[in-house]
Amino acid sequence: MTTQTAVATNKVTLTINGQAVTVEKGTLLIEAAKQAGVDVPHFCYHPKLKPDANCRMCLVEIEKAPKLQTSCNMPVAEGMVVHTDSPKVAEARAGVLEFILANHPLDCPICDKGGECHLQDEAHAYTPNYSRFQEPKRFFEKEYFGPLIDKEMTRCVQCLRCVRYCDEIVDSRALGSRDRGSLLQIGGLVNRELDCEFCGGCIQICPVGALTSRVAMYDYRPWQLKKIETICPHCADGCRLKVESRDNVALRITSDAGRGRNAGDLCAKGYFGFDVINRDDRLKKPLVRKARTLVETSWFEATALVAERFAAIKAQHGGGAIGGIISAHASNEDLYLFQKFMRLVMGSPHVDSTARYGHHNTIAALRDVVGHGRMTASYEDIDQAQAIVVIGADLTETNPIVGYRVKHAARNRGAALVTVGRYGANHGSFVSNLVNRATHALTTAPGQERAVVLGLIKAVVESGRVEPALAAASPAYVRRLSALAGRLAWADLEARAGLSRAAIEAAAAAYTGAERAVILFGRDVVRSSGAVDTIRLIADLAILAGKLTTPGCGVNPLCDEANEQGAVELGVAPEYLPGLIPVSDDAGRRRLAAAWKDEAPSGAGWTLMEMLDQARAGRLKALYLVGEDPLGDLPASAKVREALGNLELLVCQDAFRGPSAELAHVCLPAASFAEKEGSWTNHEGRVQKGKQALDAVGEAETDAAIFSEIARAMGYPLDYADPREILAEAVRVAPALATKGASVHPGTVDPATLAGYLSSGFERDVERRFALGPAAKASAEHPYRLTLIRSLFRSGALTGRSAALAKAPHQGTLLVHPDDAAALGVAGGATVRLRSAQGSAEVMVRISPKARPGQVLFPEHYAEAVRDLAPIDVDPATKVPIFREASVAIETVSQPMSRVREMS
Amino acid sequence: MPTYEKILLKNMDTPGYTGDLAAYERAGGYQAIRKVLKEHKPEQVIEIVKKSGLRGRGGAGFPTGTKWSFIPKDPSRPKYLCVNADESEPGTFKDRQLIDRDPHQMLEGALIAAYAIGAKVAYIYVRGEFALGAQILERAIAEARARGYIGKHVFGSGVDIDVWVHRGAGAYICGEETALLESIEGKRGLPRAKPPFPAINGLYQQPTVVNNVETLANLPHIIARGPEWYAAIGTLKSPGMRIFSVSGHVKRPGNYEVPLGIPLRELIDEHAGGVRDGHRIKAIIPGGASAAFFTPEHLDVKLDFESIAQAGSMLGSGGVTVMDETVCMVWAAYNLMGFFHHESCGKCTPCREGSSWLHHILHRIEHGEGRDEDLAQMERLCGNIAGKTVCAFGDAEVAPVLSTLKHFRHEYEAHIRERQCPMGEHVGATHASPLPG
Ligand SMILES: Cc1cc2nc3c(=O)[nH]c(=O)nc-3n(C[C@H](O)[C@H](O)[C@H](O)COP(=O)(O)O)c2cc1C
Ligand code: SF4
Ligand code: SF4
Ligand code: SF4
Ligand code: FES
Repeated sequence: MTTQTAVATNKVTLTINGQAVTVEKGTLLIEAAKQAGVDVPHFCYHPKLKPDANCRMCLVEIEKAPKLQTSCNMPVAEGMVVHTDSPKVAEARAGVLEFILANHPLDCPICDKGGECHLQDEAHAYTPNYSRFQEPKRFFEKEYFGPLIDKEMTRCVQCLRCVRYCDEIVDSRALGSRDRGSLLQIGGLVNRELDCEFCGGCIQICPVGALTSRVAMYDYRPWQLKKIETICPHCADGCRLKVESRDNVALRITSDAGRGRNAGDLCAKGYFGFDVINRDDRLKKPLVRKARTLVETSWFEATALVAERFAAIKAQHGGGAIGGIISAHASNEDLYLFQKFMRLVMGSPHVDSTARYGHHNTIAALRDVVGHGRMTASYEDIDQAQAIVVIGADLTETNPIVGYRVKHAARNRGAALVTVGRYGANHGSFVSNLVNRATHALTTAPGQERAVVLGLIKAVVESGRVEPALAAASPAYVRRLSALAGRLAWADLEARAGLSRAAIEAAAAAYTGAERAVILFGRDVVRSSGAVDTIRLIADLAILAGKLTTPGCGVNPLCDEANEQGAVELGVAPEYLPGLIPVSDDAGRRRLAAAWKDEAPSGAGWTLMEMLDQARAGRLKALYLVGEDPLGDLPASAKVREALGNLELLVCQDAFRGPSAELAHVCLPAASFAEKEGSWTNHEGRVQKGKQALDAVGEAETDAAIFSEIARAMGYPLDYADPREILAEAVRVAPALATKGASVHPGTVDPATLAGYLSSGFERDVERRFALGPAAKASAEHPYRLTLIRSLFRSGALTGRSAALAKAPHQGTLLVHPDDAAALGVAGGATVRLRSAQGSAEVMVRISPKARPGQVLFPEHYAEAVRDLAPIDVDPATKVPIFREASVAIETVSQPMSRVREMS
Repeated sequence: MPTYEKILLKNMDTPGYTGDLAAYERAGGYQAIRKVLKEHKPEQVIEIVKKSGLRGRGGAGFPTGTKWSFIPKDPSRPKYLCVNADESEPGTFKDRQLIDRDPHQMLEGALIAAYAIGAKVAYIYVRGEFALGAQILERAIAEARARGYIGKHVFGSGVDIDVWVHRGAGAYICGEETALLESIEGKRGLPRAKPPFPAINGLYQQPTVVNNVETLANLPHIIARGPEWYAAIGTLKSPGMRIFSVSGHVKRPGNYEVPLGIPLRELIDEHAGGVRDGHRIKAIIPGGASAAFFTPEHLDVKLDFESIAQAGSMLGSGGVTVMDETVCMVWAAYNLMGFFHHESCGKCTPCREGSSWLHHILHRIEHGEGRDEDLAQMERLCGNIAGKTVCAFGDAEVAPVLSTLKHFRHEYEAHIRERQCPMGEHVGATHASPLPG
């Protein structure tokens, strides 16, 4: 009964154009009309943004109201009687449109928005075919809005959607309106080069052609474009986007508002990074090495050669002399088929993916806690969280869409935001930074994220916030962990974390005090030493606080690459068969053998790093690289060149000729993500399907097709009619992968696994993970700690080739804290030499408090010499290579020109 | 000439009055707030002000006590008082005098208002050009703070009220209350779409009252002498004294404090000394640049909210501008439209585009390039602006155009017919040069 009245009072009934409509209380009139099938014309309103009611296009008549009201910001009220098409409304609407059109240039024939322009549509529907405006039209000088955006202010309808998007969704606030009245225009507060996140959102949300992309300016008319939906390959956020092309050339990327896990938002890589597909230097034909140079050849010859060489090596040394590594950008279909190919056709257990660079640590830590390595809370849970703890992740740079959601929760829903990591606040930057929004910024030295997590656990235990039901159900677990936490001294934790006990306790209270609380952790945890222990501690924190399985709560691992999740779950790892079944699990092996009608080789295979070691040792004779380029990814200390140079056969299959290709015997041209149908599993665990948007360039083929081709040539056909058939088989052998529909979160915690963990599993390494370990000693010779961070504009070899992304400003610079810059006597723009035990590199300095004192930050994939500064260390258990930190000395090489002038 | 007991201008018109704290206290200042803190609960203060019938002096004339009563009582939300000292309405200069000559009177009023609505912080938003006024206010606040009148435990009570000066940067629109709030928040001063209203979501999204300087200056007197005393001054619906800023072609331009409801004629002829010798009145703007023009026929209209509205204009900011027969009405409308075009913030379509369009048409007519269809066109455009904008600026900008078209249509027609201004080189005449935007 009570619920019924509650429901009844939450609904409002009103009349729109004579039709009764019942909607949720608080619904905006314009949305209520939409629900009633009535479209109210509008410009400034956008469901994503807070209403601003500036265009006045959506005026409607509400009976009893003294004047017309804007329906975009008017909440419905019981009994309201609304007319959206009365003569008064029609007159007002025509008046508004007349005003908008008065100064509009009507240069539709040369406007890139022509044909999909909101103003064209509304003008077509609501204005007479003549104009009464006979004054000189207002005119703005043409300006480019930075390197990637075209600004045509004569076309602007001043709806401020772009400004509001940039503020409310991206939290960049790079845009504003400048000047007044009819001279109002969009720009920065001061006229400066745009240096924002370049997400393209302002372009997409502009209802007219005032902001357009410079990447394909004047190259198309929208109606000429073929639009195909697929999944972005650049990170694990898993954005749905549309590749729009003409004559098989991708001309732009778009996304539909509200669609996909990204709800229609994108980041710079997704929006601007597509130009790589069209590059001239794509591999278009197979290459084979003849007389030391790679020469083009036919597929027939290349496949025959590859098959013959693999077969010969297999015959002479056994399948165990052959290894295969695939990129975790690949689709599920390509990944699945690759491990099947390696295991059955090559007869090799040595198959791995680039998920080895990080996600394996998460899997190793969480597989026996929650049953998998997926996010246990969905994106929607992040939206609704009252507290969010982000550990070791700079979401703006690594996972921008998850970042939008976290910022939204913190800014617009008032969620507490705890950041644990090595980054400082840099208010005033036009690239957002979670720390700037943190209610509790637990900023610590590199590698001390674990000390902070231990502090949080201790605070939860000591404040009596351990979930009471847990203490009753799993007393041994709670007792043991409480005792271990009790053993830690606050003084030690404070010293290690560089934070006060009070700050840690306050953050812990914010976390435990929230009913819906989500923890996210990212690469600074996952890709650093001791990751497994830290991740388990993060799980312990959530479990103790009762926030692992409670609805709306969870622990969310973040992945860098688009399909690390799929790569591991589909068995592209020497230790796992498809479905995360350990290779040592005999029952699992038998089930797989029944499905495959063949046996996968038994015994432990080699991981990525071990394959390189074995190649150097001469035991691995052949290596098949698919989309992965270890020479490009790993530092010199990994001795990749020596490893690859020692192989009898190196096959590189990729869309481009990367550094490793220089040592390859055969290069096979692979289709890009846009050129194939397939599915990708994002870090939530959602398997998302994409369609083929383009024909592959030249003679490039999809990875799966190439595997089938080689398999057939080797006399072991692996033939499938299409990618769907591959996925169907993958789901059959690993049922956990089946999608359960859009509404079911795929990452729920497996109760049996958790029960096992709480009864005894937790004991594994528990002493070690609760110990602080030896403190890092500062080196007098190399006093600064360098972290290789990830850049929003370049996350790997593929985005590194984007000419568009390269245009964003301030990239590839060393971030130095202002105090350090002062101590070193360097100005922004100066060139310095970094020196580590491994070598030295020259870089340009950018001063930013985002780098904390004593620490410097440099993005990966910008300078090999900087990458080579890092020593490499391999996690003994998970074999994940750790190479993103180094101790360095900094010496000034030269000051920027302006500074030189100042000093002389 | 009828004389009235001055209330707001009384101190400053006393010879030797310096306006500092000691002088104000010698004149009986800061007793009302003491009384309020000692004797009244906030709700009682609101009741008193309601009973006095005080209406806002900023322009809209909204009953002050009623406005305060919209503030939610929820103790968990901070509340703010914002003092609107942006006074930018052309022809209006009363707040400036109240600030410069008797700052403590207004400060005392602000303390009373802040106490009544439960605000611990008040911001005084001062027009950017009032550099002197801002200094005077800062000094007055420092004096009061030093005495414990502002800050923690004001007057030894349990109440904290802090007062800060926030200077504007020269935009007329920042006098509009929600643009003012945006500006205090450090954002660009653009009016907000309402609802929500400031009383619910105002400064920093918290309950906020915005009151004009003159409105607040009345409060100490209402408290000291009682609401009944106050309500007896002026008319039934428009009680109290009002400061009119009289300017233009009168002999004694200046601020005059008179009871609401006296005839316009009395204000101009008796107090301001009448129109300059040898000239006659042609038009009067009775309530700031946003008010519709009156003609000599309106001289007997009473200066209270209702009577003026009934006669087709508004009391507005209390700025009364008198024009004699040397002023070209097309030029006057053109001049005012220039102001509105320049000051339109540009946020909403009808005002942004309409102010520019109207300005262009008036520019043409005044410079001999008018067309027959222009007058109907302007009326139509005004109809598409008024009542359709985000803030009341839209209604303001059409008032001069529509009223001059109504009362002085023949002047427009002459301009168009003769292809020039029939008055030739009149005051302010400019030569045709292209307009910006
Ligand atoms: C365009 C515009 C400009 C305004 N400028 C002022 C101003 O300069 N001073 C002022 O007190 N009120 C001004 N107002 C009125 C305020 O919005 C608000 O109504 C007033 O400050 C409320 O105070 P009151 O209730 O004490 O009158 C302006 C309103 C508009 C629409
Ligand atoms: S640039 Fe586009 S989105 Fe931005 S205000 Fe102008 S029309 Fe609106
Ligand atoms: S890189 Fe990640 S966040 Fe950016 S568009 Fe692609 S999937 Fe989305
Ligand atoms: S009416 Fe004019 S001043 Fe007011 S919001 Fe609209 S554009 Fe700005
Ligand atoms: S859509 Fe409502 S005012 Fe713009």
